[in-house]
Amino acid sequence: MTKILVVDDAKFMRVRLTKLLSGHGYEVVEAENGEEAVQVYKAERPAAVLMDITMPQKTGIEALTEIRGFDPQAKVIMLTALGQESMVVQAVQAGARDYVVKPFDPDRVMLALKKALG
Amino acid sequence: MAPQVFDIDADELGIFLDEVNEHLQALESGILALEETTDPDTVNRVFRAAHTIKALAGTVGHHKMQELTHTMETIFDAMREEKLVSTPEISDQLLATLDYLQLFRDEIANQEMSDTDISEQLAGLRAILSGDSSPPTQAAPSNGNAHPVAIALDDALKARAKAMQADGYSLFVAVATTAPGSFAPAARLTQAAIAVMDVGEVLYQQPSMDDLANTKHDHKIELLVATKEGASAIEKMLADVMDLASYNVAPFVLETTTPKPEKPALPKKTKAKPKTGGGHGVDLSAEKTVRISVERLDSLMNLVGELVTDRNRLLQIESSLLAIYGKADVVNDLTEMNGHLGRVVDQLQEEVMRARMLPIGSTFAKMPRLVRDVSRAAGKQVNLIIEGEDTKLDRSLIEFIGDPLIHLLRNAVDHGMETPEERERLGKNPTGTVMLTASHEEGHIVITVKDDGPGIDPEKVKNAAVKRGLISEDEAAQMDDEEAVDLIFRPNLSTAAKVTDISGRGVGMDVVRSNIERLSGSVVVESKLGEGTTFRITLPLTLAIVQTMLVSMHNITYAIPLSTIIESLYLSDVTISNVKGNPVIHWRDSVLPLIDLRDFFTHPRMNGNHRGDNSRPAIVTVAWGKQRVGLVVDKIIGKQDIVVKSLNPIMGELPGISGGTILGDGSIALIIDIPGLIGAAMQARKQGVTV
Repeated sequence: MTKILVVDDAKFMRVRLTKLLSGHGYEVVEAENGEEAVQVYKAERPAAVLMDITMPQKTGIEALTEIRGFDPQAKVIMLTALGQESMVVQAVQAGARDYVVKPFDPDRVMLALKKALG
Repeated sequence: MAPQVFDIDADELGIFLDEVNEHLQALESGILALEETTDPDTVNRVFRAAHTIKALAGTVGHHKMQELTHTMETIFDAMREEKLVSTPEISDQLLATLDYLQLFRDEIANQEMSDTDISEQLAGLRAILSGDSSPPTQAAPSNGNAHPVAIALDDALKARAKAMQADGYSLFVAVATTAPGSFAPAARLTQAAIAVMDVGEVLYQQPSMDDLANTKHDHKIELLVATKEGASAIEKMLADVMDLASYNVAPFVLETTTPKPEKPALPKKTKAKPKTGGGHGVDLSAEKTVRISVERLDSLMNLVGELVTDRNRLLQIESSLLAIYGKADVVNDLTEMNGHLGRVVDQLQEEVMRARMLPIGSTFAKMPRLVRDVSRAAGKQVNLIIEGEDTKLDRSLIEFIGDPLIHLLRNAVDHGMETPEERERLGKNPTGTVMLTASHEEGHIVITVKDDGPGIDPEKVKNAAVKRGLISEDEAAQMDDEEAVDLIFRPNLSTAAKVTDISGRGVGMDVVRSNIERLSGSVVVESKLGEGTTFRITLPLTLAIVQTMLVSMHNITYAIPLSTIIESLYLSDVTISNVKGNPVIHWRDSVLPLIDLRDFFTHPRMNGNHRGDNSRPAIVTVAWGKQRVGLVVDKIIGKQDIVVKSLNPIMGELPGISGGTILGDGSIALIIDIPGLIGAAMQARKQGVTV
């Protein structure tokens, strides 16, 4: 099963995404902040990452940069809220494959994911 | 099932509410903190909280909640960029908004949408922003047909393009525009540029990566691409970028361009400079946790309770066997096993109890807002100091302790504190102090609310009580100060007229006391005129399993909570005397009223005072608050942990009984409600009935 890492500090968001992804036959691993995301990524090597930008401890962008540092092929899709445009640009420039705006449309998430997975 | 108003399933609701509550709490404490600090960590914390609530609200489809939090977020963002500094007025607005958010949270919980109008609230928030120079982030207006596809290259770039062409590269101009209204167009344009880099080299781009990073763009990007693949390869890459309104790839002819010294930029891959979101240095080796539903914990506690009952039963069987077979091997084995089982059950009970414990901090966290609001409204200056917020207590207690604490704190500020001017005149610090503390003390939780206000005047309380007919003038004359101050807990002392003239402490204090007593707790007050007042609440660690002393009366077993017992003595060791027709003993330099449980529970007196053959009448001294009485029982059986079971409501309110339990031998014991019993007995005595 294709493994996807879901990173969000809001558990509700993780639950939502996990439901969506497992409904489409993906295996989901979770992390609740950027720091944990880096650790889980190292341990689990997921096929793709769905990651929130605004998180405590380590932001999504910091985690993204770190993950891309040891895995330049990492496929990271950012989850972002309205009003964070410059952050999103930063993320894309730092190597995020795509981004989906919250509250997200499930179809958009799946589309972005499929594109990232090629 | 009714159609859902909000997009959330029942199984998600708990998590959702936990999360929203957590962030609402963070908002509240953060907004209050911002009145005193501009610390970036605090600003970041509130920003994140608003941001997360916005996303959560949006996900379930509560748009009003989303809109309010979005506006709050914009305000915090302005603070983050130091364009705005919080003032008490801004805090007022933000806190008022918080009240709306709480309302909306409840709407989601109940799957009910009200027609609450938020326009005024939104206008208030926006006014905060417009008072500041930074308008809310808004994308630059779209400029439909701005740039014609003419790219101006400087000489260096032109030379480079030429060289690449010579190397077999084809040059293309790719233009992409973003769909109007799409989110974060700058990021889409950036994605477009990066996507194209996968199939060729971008020699020039307008806007540059730096411009995009600053969201400077006209919803359009132009790229000069050198590629060994065809236009279709570039198109294919652009097709994959979401939210593009259009893209177009055309061959680029070098000679047609006129060189202009216009900011031609080599495509430089801008290294992202991740901005820190704050909140670093948190220990990540945090304990691994799982969330568990309260129902499951409750049922676990119930099962442990059953196990405690069974363990007690086994001990009984053991002693029966011992009586029949003596110390036979099999009995010894049973004894040993019972010993082990007992230790395991004790540990299990403690673990489950611990799992049910929550720090009281979540309840305390509501108080700064309360104190702030009340003191602002009442024109007082009050500094609230909170200590011991990590103190843990059973979650069932946490749920119910909030209201009494709110009541005590509100009184402490509203009525129990002088105005700043008055305080200054009295030589006190104009800012009063209210301390709220929690701690563990000998198997109890102690919560105190202490103020440095004017204190309670015992004379005024007495007068009010006499005026209201609660006590006679005689009684008032005999009361010492302590007893007089304790009158504030009497019902009806305050319900009718305003009694702010007795430092206002009478307001609903009887309700506070009865609420705390319902939790098997007690509350006492100490007050020093001119110096302040301290309320001290004592609560048990848990309500589910109680350590008790079993006593019997006419072969009916009663359980007295150990936490209320001071000591026990045999009736034969003391001399009973009478005060006003009521039995008392003189004990340890004081007069201890006796309550004979036979009388109280109206067991028929068999043969006058005869208590049965194997009885050894005893007095169990119990205390409630400051009141001590001796309970006369037929026999003391011994200490036992019991599992509290509520009585069938069909039995109605039984004065002096708080519940029941099943003992090891399967028989039933009634748990004595000490405060209820003392109250009822003392009341009866006043009316001249001997108990």
